[in-house]
Amino acid sequence: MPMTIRLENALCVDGVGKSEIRNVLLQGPNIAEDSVSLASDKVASRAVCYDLSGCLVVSGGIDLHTHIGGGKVNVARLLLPELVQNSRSSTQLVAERHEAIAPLSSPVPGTLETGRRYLQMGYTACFEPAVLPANARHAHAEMADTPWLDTGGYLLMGNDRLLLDWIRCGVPQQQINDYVAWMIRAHQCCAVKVVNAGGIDAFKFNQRSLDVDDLHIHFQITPRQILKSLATAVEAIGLSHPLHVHCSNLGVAGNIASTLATIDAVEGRRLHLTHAQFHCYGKDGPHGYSSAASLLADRVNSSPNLSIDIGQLQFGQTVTLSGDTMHQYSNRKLARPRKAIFQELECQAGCGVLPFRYRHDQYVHGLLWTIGLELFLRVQDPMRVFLTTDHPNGAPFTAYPHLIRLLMSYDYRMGVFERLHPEVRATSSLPSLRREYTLEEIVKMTRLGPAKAIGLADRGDLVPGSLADVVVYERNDNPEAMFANPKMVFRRGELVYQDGKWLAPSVKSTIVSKVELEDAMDARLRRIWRSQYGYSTDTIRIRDEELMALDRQIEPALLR
Amino acid sequence: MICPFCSLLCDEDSFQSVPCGIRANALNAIERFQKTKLASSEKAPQEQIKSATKLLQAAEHILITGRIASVQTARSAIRLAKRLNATMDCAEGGHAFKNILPIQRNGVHSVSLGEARDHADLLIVVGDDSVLSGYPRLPQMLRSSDPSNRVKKTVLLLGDFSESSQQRWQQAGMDTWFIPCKLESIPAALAQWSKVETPSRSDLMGRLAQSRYTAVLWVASSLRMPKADLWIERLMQWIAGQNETTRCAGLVLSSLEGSFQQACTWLTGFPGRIRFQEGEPIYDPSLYIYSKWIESAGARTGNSAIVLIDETVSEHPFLENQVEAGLAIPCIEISATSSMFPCAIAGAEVTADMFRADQAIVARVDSQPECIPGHSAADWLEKLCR
Repeated sequence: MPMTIRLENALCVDGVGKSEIRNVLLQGPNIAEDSVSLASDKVASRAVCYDLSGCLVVSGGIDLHTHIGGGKVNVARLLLPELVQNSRSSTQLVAERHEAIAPLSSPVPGTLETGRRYLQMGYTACFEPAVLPANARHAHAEMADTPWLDTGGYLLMGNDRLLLDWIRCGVPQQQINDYVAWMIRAHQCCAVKVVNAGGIDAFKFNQRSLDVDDLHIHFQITPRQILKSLATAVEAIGLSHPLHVHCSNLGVAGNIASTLATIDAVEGRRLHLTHAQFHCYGKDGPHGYSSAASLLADRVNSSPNLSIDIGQLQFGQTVTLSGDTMHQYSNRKLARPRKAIFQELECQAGCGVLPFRYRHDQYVHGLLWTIGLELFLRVQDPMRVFLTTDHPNGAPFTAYPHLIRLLMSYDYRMGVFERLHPEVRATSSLPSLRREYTLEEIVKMTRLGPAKAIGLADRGDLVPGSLADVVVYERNDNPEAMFANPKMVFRRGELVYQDGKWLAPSVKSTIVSKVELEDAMDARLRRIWRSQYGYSTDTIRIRDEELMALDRQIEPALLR
Repeated sequence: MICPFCSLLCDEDSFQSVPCGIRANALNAIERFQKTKLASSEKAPQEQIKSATKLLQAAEHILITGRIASVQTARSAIRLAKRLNATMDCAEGGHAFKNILPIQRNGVHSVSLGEARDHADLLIVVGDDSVLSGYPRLPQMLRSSDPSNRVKKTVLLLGDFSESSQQRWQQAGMDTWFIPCKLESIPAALAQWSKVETPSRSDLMGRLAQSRYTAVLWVASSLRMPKADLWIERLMQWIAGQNETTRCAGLVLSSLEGSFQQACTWLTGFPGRIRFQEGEPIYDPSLYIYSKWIESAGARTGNSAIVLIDETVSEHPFLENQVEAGLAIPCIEISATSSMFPCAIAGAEVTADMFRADQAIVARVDSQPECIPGHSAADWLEKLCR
């Protein structure tokens, strides 16, 4: 008999139904119908009941873009032992401005702390957005050690030398579709990610910039061709999550032009632009940097096939880690502490790791902070704009409660704004944006929206049949305090966190996408792999039984 | 498949066909590693666990060390170390930290083996003949096997290489240059070519200038000099400087313990050389070194104990000499079972998995008829954790 838990008299918000005070029944791993009265219900008589008057009940949070596993996360840990609070050589972290929540022990904490702290905020699923194929086994092993969270990965493909060569040769699109499907299956991922399409590889040929219509110096193809080809493949093989794109010209003044060109490149196909805050800069302003948030937001508002996550910046010490070696290298002199790691990896991608300290009183840093918030506030549909800091690039994920408060309170937002560099205050349009997010909108952008964007039909709401990944917060006028510390967290109907205590570890799942494979592609890749990379495809293929509880597979979008 | 002995991507179909001295020696040594040793005893497993647990409970100072080659064993060893508030440092720590310390001070530009194989047109191999002793098939591995890759590789051997070493690079089809110089002076020589005594210096400088991508290779374990980490740091700085105008990266070959370092880093935040205190890891690469721990054992009050894990098939049991040197530290020894190295079974055609393709660290088992369920090194460690 599965465990039955009844959460009573709480304000239930899920973005689907009406927000109201009602009961939620958790029966075994799922939410069940609670349509009969408590007194006459035989199930209820055996249920563990919690009177949650004065509480908020929502589904578990979903972070669709957070760097929690794989090569470069570990590279960052390796580089920065002095930023770990309990290490013998540690230096004091610059104080974070998240008063309701304790800082992480490091900008890139270990897996146990990552799992604990996500759960402590009410998150139950997280997605690593940059799984290098060559490191996929590592990434899955690391995520398996991150407790309390369901995990999945997006496979990096926009700089795969075999793919670039095939595009150069003009192979049929079907061949590329089959290749993408094979790679997703072999590496057990759930989406395709592009980082600076073609640019990581171009940097290996000493090309220092590559805009959307520039030619790759060696392959003589453009990022536009790569983006179109991969977006087409993602749709053709039925991946639920659209092509997940880190645009060209990361962090470069005037990069809004590249970002808009990237949107155009996929010719109306579904597209997700990640850490959009780092990709919407103009060239105006006192230091040649200005906000172009309104241009991007307008495009998102008018393009139903387009979604973004923000990558909001917060002030304090962090570390930036990206596959975009080209632009990370160009920022090397900004590293604080002054050191960085750059890697070039297996004809597939690369990575650059730079520690970074964002400061209130620095013009560009302050401007970036306002641009992220502008995007949040200007994009109208909370189902297509998602709360991320691109952990740890913009800030640690523990900044989320603070960000929610910034979005829900104009006065609070302006209080922080007043501490920024005077030239930021003089030029930013943020004060004119008086929008305050509602609770329903916050729930959509952190639960329902990411679930829909990834294709997780079984979670993100409080509908009967959905997974019983449910969070209880004590209602509080200060949303930062509320979202920083849930009263209870249930995973699959099991109480795993209560009043500051982590209880038993719960089930974990690895989320992958089901794709159809062509036998011919398998044989073709077997030959190519041995010839080009020198080893067998059998060596890299990750078997189902290797993964932690592979029990949640995303069905192909076109087959549903 | 990956060679589990030198960790390179040999991808040969049969071990018997590979003319590799390291493999041949290892295959001969496998026989004596087929059994699991715990506390150097032949007692029944439950008895062994009981006595080992008793020993650990009585110890105030515990060192967990050895050659850990798999993620699963690393996880279990770290869990045990945390539970016992033990010190951890692995056998290869001394070599690994020659690279890690300069990286932690200044960072690094690095390239993986596959990328260097495919993309680099100039290889600068720094060191001496021990580079090929440690990685016998390196020249073949770095020769692109892709017939469409028409980039002719040049190898510059910089240091103290014999005629035989030079020939092996030439036999791999690479244009080979050799500049003899003292190992200690190489970073300076690279920085100032004028110090290199060679009539072909200008040709060489021209080749370096023309290089599309230069990979600089060194093997930390072959650098037997004081302050090798500083030597590597200078090399890394030279590489960083090159990237201002061209492309250049260090090819840092990993050891079989690379998987331990990776797992230790994601589990604790540090790549090794840690001590747990009240369950929290403290990192000090200059202090938590296994040899220092053993040396100072006599000066400590309270009982000491070592948990010695060996997942390799090395001919030379780790710590054998140190432990037998009269220090009288009780040692719980956990050796590899065959489960770790299915591809080391001579003639067997089995499939292995790469943990990380970019570093080619270790082969993992797909099927292994000799494996005794529940008796892997990780299984033993888990039992000690309970």
